[in-house]
Amino acid sequence: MTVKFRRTCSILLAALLSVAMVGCSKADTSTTNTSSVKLNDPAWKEAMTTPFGAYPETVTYSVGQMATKFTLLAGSPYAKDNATNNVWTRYFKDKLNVQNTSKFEANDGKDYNQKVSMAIVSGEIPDIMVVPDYSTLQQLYENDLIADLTDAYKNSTSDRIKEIYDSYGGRVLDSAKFDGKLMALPTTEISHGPGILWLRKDWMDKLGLQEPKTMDDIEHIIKEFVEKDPGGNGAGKTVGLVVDNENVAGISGGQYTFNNIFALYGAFPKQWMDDGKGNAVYGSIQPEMKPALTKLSDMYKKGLIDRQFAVRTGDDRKALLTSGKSGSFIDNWWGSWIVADSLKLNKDAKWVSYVAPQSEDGSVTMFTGNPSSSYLVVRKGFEHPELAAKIVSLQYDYQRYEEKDEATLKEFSDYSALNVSGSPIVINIDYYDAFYRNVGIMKHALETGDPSELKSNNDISAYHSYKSYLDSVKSGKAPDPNAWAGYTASITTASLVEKSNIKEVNPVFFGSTASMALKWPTLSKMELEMYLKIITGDQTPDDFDKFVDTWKKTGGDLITKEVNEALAAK
Amino acid sequence: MKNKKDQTAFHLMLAPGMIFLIIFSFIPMFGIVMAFQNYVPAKGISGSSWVGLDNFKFMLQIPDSKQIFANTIIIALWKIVVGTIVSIVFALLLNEIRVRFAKRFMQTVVYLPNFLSWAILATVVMNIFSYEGPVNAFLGWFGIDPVLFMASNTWFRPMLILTDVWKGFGYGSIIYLASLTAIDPGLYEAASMDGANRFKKLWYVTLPGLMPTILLVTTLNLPNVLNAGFDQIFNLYNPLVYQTADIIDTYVYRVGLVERQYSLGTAVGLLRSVVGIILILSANKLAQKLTDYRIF
Repeated sequence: MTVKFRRTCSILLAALLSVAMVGCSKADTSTTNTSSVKLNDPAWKEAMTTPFGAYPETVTYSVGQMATKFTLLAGSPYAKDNATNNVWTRYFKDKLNVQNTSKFEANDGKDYNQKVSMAIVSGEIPDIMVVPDYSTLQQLYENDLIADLTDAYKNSTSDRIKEIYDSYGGRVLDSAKFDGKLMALPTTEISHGPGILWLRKDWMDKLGLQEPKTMDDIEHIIKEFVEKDPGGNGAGKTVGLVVDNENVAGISGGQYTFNNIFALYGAFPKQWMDDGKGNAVYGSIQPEMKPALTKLSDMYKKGLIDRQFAVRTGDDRKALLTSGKSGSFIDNWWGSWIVADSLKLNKDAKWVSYVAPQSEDGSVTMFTGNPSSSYLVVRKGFEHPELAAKIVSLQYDYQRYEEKDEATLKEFSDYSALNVSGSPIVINIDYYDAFYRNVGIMKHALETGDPSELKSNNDISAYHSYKSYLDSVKSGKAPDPNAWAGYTASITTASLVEKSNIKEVNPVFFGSTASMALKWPTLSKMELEMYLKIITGDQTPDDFDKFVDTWKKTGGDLITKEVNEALAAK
Repeated sequence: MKNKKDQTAFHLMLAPGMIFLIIFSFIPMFGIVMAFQNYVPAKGISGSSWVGLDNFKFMLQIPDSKQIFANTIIIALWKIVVGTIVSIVFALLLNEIRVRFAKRFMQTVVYLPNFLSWAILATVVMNIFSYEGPVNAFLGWFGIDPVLFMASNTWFRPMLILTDVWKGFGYGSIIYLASLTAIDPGLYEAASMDGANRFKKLWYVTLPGLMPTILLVTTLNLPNVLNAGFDQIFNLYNPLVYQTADIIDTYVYRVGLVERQYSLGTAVGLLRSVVGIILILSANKLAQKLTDYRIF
């Protein structure tokens, strides 16, 4: 190779390198701030400082959103709707003159959280997005990536939204405040209610089984399901309790969990509990865990828990229940929505809800959730931070309580009848007792056939859906699965919970501490492996003591100390 | 090296690959400094504080780190060993097929899985080895209790190796098939003259002829012992088998990206690269010694 050629090569490479470098460093150079100019224009000022004023020109915002199954709309007039053109985005466009573009879409839960993480890593977060937890919010604030929403909240949030936030006595809004600045609009976590056991009533009837109360009753029922195969799956093919492999317990409002079973033994995994002496202790390492784990591993051995739960995905779990492979799971009051599809596949399928297992005094204990679990944030540098407040006001106040246009409302109720949301922004701002707040009024309205007492559009649309469900039952027709799911969740189960003896315990700490950042991933992994191994019989319940020991040594003790210091400093 | 201009053309052909390498491998290397910092995205690399070797110290304190390194090496070594043997045996068998069509057909068929991504294959594998899957049904005929292969710490690693070899051996055998054609047919003729049967020809002509290629490929595979295959494991594993299947890459993904511990993730990745380069250098030396071939 000659010198000359080498030179040519180096030049070529150098040129390439510089082109590449330029390509990489070209990002965000021009974000001129035009908002102050626009404030001089009365039309813009009106839009930017009120909850419901429309912008004079279309404002486009990018958003990270939870994926919606638009395929469910097939066959309806909305079959061509998508993430940027659906009932909600059209409504936002119509009322506020704003249009979303989708930065990313992912399924709610792990998938969505990963996308958020990726967006933060790359430094390119959407203009508006929901972040799934406090530590992410904290990190975004510390990294100076999100906008201060104090003024936006003051000017562009409607009075009812403010009233709802106030009904939580500040504990929700304060969680999103840093150095006195409001950095996000928090979700109000309405009471999830206790865990609910869902069983196939048609199977129970076939086998002549009684309504369950105690743990023994439940075991007996599932045992009969698995052994006698009332669903006709073939011998040994019926699956026991369906449970989430990554969140076995410890999530408030968690789906497919064992929360109730742990609570029966006085164990509250993953919660920071008061030990009775004013100290915070970690629920997952308390001695009450051991008998609960012993019980669960025993159930697994007998086949009362899905033998393959460790490898199931979310879709698998849902399919097991809807296809009639399993007839039992512990979920929430809205569990009927999960299994609504089973009615489509099998018109004899009948699911019922129970508040169980109950302790000796007939009560069920639940731990309350973090008053705010997710947060709506706006990218720093986005020209219209008030848009977040405006959308929230429109979505959770105006559309629910003020909108009177029949055609618009019909579109919304069509959507909800098909169980499709579509809104680019999924948080919820509602009263703490929202889920049983109106049960009495609703039942009364259904009895009299007069919905005039119902206040919100949601309630009125729900009323019609419930009414159609009751009518179809009366006339002996097969009910619409979604109407059934709504009625069963919001009327049947909500009244059941209202009547039941529910005890609430309140965890004392939801935040994160300095050492958690580095040590928590390892500790959580260890904890998750412990649940799975003990339940599946890979380890014995006695190995729980070893777990506690390692947990403490690997940073658990230090974190416990930090949590107590953080609480003392409050 | 007769004509300089001819060479230029070849180097130009190399350019797209080089550009790719520079953009995706060389430029990101600057990010390595994150391993010595407490990296905060908004402050960037220039603004984040320096913490020296803290991330590495912490990494060694993590109870998982030993397990993760061990998993990576064990899984990768098995894959290399089994994969090489199966590829060679397959190439030899295929070479013995005299019907040209059958040979071509077989080659294409075993080559196919290589084109499918693990995201798809994982679902297939999960179903085949599930409780209700064909494998357990088969075991059932012999009165063997069903085994949950994908959630068992005993079975998960063999499953990884088996499926990886199944996916890759067709592709792996190509290089051996190529060097089989390079063996001088005169040697076979001479062997026939001496009265060697097919097996003896295989043993005394084909295998010695393949030896340089086998040695070369094996040494070139050495640096891969820290690369146990992220795609495959990520799509197949579950929390129950973290103990035997969590490898460096999956750990870096979960902790570094999902839990956003950038600096720790980088530190783990850097350590892996350092070990990797030591292995490459020794593989180069070894290849030179054994086969007289230099990578660089």
